Amino acid sequence: MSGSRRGLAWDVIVVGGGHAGIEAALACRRLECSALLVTGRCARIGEMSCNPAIGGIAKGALVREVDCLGGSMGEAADRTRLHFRMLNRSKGRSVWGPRAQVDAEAYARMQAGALAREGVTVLEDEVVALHGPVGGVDGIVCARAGAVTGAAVVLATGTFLGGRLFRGEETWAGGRFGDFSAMALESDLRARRFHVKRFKTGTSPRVLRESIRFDRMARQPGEGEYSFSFGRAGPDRGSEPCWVTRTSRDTRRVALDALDRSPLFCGKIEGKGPRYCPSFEDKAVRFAEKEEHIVFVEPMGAGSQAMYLNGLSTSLPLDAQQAMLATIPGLEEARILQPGYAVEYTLLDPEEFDACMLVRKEPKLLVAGQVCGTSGYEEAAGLGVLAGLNAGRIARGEHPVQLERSESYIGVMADDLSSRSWCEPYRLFSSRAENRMHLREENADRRMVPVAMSWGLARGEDVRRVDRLERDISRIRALLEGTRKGVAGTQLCRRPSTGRAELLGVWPELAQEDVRAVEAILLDERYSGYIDRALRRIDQRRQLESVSLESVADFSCIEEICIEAREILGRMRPRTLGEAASLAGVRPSDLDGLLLHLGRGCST
Amino acid sequence: MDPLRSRGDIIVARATAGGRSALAVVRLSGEGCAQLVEGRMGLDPGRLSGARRAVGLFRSGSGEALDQVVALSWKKGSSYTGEEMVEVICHGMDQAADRIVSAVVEEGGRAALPGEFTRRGLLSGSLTRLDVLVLGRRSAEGQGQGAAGATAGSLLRRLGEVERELEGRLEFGEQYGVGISREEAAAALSELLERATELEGVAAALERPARVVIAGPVNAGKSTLFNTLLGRERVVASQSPGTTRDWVSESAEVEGVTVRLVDTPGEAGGEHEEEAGRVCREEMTAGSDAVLWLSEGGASEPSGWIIDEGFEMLRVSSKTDLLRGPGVNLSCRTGEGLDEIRTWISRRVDLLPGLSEGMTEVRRHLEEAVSALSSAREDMACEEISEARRKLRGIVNGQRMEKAVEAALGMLCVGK
Repeated sequence: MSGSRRGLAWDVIVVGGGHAGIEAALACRRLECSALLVTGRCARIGEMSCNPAIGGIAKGALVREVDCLGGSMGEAADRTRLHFRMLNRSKGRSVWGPRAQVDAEAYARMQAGALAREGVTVLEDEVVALHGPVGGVDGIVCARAGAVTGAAVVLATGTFLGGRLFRGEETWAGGRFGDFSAMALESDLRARRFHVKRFKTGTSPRVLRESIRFDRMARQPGEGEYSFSFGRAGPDRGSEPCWVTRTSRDTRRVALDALDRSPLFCGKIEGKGPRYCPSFEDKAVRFAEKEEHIVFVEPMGAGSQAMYLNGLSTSLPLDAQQAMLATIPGLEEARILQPGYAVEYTLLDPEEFDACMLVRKEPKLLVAGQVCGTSGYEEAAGLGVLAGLNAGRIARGEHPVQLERSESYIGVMADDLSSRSWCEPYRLFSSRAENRMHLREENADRRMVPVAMSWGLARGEDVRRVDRLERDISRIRALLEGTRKGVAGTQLCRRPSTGRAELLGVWPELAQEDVRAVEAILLDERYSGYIDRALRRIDQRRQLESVSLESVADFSCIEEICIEAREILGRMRPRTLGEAASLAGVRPSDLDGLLLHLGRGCST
Repeated sequence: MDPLRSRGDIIVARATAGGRSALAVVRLSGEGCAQLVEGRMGLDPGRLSGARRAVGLFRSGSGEALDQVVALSWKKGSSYTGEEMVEVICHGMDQAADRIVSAVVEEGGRAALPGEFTRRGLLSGSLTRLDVLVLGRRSAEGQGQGAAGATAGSLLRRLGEVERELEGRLEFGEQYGVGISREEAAAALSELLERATELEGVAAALERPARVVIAGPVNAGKSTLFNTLLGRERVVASQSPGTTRDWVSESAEVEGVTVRLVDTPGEAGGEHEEEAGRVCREEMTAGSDAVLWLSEGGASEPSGWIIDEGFEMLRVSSKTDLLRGPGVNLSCRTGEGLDEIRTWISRRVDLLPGLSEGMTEVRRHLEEAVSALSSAREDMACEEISEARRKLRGIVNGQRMEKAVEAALGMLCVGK
């Protein structure tokens, strides 16, 4: 174990080898800090607990943002890709979502390789406690290695804190199938009086490829090529198809019949699950009218015999799972390799950390990933990069930094997570960003590389590429400032119907220019009005958040807001408008009403 | 009655006027009203609220058949009052409707107060202040309630639903097949665009300039003030009392607000006062019109009709270069007090600032949304809908509408 400059054992200690931990450790190395990553099982570094896919709507842009900040997720996904689709291709450009199915095993190996290459030291051990007094955490205590101190610690324990697994009537301790549960560390956090809560998440069964009747399903070929890492991963690979089938009324009946043995519905699981990723039994209960649900059958790896059933997350007993499969076309004889299950875990309340991912009462402790309340590999990676960056800065004696919600999805996420209480795992949606028209996968490098550069995270080739692109863009813009055929260039670009072809019709010399540059200008112009509006809204929201409600003696008399809101406000007594906005059940119209009452006109 | 405490009651009333007509409507609102009606109609519990309509015999508590009726129900959150609601459509014979009301009261309901349904709608947020103003205006003009779905409140709610559905389609459409199709969204939006256009018309009609009536005893200086505010010699103002004979009204700009100034003949008590009161009740609207009570040196007290009708009033003591008095001291000769009067006017009567323009902008955003959707730009469509909602929220619950809303509620009868 190599030492650091400051006489401590390490600059940064990262707890957890999942998607958040990996990016945090790599970010530290880019800042030339020594990094120790502690994981319960080295072989499971970078493991994909459920769906073997990276990207999606908003998530795809997020992966690119991570890449531009020096992260490895994008390149690993590119190199291990099996199947690619651009979601929402037929809808507006700002919501295009690149999504790749990857070879899960190869992906994990690639990430472990990245850690080794960048000089992250990996220790296989169980972290049983934080080290140091309350308010003065300065390291960790391992079961075998004992106390290890550092200048900063990043907690990225995923679903392992107090992890409890459930399937049918069985339950056992674990953070993931086949893995231990971080019980000791959880006790330590509780003893240190951290505010915590419990969430749950689940996964689908994995079945044997040979036992699937593909002729009874619809084939979904991959489409197109894409590089999350802007071409760094080399030429494109071949593509394996995915398969699509549907559940039926019978599947629903099986699920409903088994509900009495479902841990979710028997009250055994207290934690709230993600509303947008419900288990199948959840869907069966909630969407009574919906007879069919889509199931995607996804390959897990070129050399793997396993296929993942996307859309069938469940924690019903094994026999019920088998019975459900029997009702699904193509899966009637499917052999389950690993059944679906649910995991309930402990995480930190948002009041414990800020938008820099720094724990408020511990100047050397940071958090990232599911332990802060997110769900998804991409979300974890985004927070991991931010936490790692700030851990490194703290180790170097610099102050931590934040990302703007107007400029990146990472910024939106960190701001959302740390500013209000969520009652279910947070998943990134494009609609969470006011400025989503600007947060495109297409311009991620233009947005992120300049900040990455200022923080010492950027790659030379990224800087050069963005530099050249911006110069091209400036030059083309100057050309388009003029007027031709009676139309101003910028006006022409603003029309939604103008594409590259239409533009070349009037400015044929642009045919020589970099296609990316031309497209960038078209999109920026097309969305410019919306972007201006969004920026104003973000600004106003910020100002309004600090409006004080101290002068309101009695909420029940405020006629401008509806009765439900009056009751909630009266009970919770928020001190500012921002606090009021974070209360469940208080709607934007109620906030408007409050503002009217305070004589300040309307929020927008 | 304290609206907050009485909120739990089930209220009932005839929603249609008495007299002969083919059909009558009895309206109920409050949690449990669907169950109550199911009971009276001998339906299985949940039958009416689930299916939203039912046909059958409505019986009294003693089992007597009152009438063959059609019952319609609305769930909480999607009704006029924002509460669970039922409307029982029966035959237009007075007896049937009244007896149905009695039967409901026997079951624990309460006869509704005038305007109480609308008041509940306002409290629950399902009706906006603008909607109440429109209702009041319609009532005053003797019109019916208008299409039930055409309120600003329901437009806001539906826009929110469509926006959520479209967002759902964007985030999950391809993966999970949820969210409405583009065609369904386009159809829904077109309908909402029609409603917004209708509201735009309503807003324009509502935005008639408010009236400022200059009243007071003979020779108080009313015509002089009128001319001064108008900026020209419109009426003859002379020293001799009783010069003005008729009510004269003119449009004027006062601190950027358009008002109609009304000069009145002096009141000499008795029949003049009665006359003034009658004309005001016909011409003016409490809450949106105002009165300047002018008297020399402030010597005269405001007439009864001003206080009774609840008009906004500013007391002005005129000719104060000669005598000073209560209220604003005005001298048209020196100009003292004029600014204060102008400011008061503009603040009191600009009831619906930017309403008409605001509604036009809302309509434009929805047009953009429809256009964006038809060219497959769901992301832009979502933004336009979002902006339309925001703007609509901003204009339908104006702060200054408070008094006018109270006045409008006061004009509604039982059953509204």
